[in-house]
Amino acid sequence: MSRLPPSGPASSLGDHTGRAGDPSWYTRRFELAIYVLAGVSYVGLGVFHKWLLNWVIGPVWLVAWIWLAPLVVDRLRRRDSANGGDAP
Amino acid sequence: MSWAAHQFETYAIQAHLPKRWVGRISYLGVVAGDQTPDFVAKFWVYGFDVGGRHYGASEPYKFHRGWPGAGFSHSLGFALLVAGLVYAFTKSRGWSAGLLLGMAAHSITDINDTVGTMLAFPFSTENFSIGTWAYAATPGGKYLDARAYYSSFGFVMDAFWLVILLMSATVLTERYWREVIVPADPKVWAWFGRRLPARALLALYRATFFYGLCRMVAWTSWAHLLHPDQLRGWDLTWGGPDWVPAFSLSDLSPWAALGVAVAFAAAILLAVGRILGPPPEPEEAIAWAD
Repeated sequence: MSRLPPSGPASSLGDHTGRAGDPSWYTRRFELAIYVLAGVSYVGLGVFHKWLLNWVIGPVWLVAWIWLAPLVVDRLRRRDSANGGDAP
Repeated sequence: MSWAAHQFETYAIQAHLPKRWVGRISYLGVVAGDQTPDFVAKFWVYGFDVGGRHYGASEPYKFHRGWPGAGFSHSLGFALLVAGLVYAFTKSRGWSAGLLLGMAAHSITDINDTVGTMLAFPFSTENFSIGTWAYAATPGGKYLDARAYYSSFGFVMDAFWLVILLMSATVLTERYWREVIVPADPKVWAWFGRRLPARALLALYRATFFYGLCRMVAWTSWAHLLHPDQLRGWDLTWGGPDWVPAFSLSDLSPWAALGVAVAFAAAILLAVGRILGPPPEPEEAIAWAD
């Protein structure tokens, strides 16, 4: 139990995370998807490459996904919008 | 030994701290404490190969949990020593208390295998075990150990801690992290915060859960779906699985082990209470939070 006061209205999955450093398009749903992707990829690779299943790589794997995936997507979005802007 | 239970129990501890300790114990300290006993001993338990030659303990269970060996790493004396040293160098009550709780949780959870732990070291080198599942670490690496653990009550133990954690799932929320976890350890989180965005910090907090859940799913899937072994399947009997030799270092009854574990836990809680002292007055708390 958290022993915290009751929280306010729960934000929906489609809302922005509300964190200052996150891109404007970065929603809770997107973040949840990254968590799931990180887990599926880690388990999927880990069952075939057991050396991945250790207490250093596991946590680093998750942090890297959550940290870097939005940066990669942000860069792709900017490139796409730049290409779209150049289009006749 | 236990596997994902060691990851899940850190959140369960955090979620069930007495009210007077909430926000005063470093969660990262709890995680570090829970890793410390095996960090000291584990690399030599499984060993490693160089140039076709194996380096490691010839009898892993004696090295891991016995004396002479690294069995002291799962004990009251070692937990107090490490917490005392950390306090002497950092003056951090939150980290010292967190380390103590983490090391205690690890040492108590590990009395469930047939080798057990030297809880009362340095007063005694006796191992205390309730023998719920077989200790199966061998010089051949962790594969046999993993298959045995995830075919026995070890799997049930992991699932039990997972359920306990999920019943307190609020502890994994961003709000809990911001309002309870970070204020208990502001310097360390600020240090991370200068290097990582907030979403990565939150992921770092959740990473122990992520790793525990993933390793539980991965090893269980490997042992029973991808590489099932008809001769080495599920065996949910006390002390199982029966297809692996269950090493042991003690003839004491499980009841004696339980009694010592309760006394050990009481001693740790007493020590944590002494380290933290009385709760800060409201004015002090506000000033500290600022």
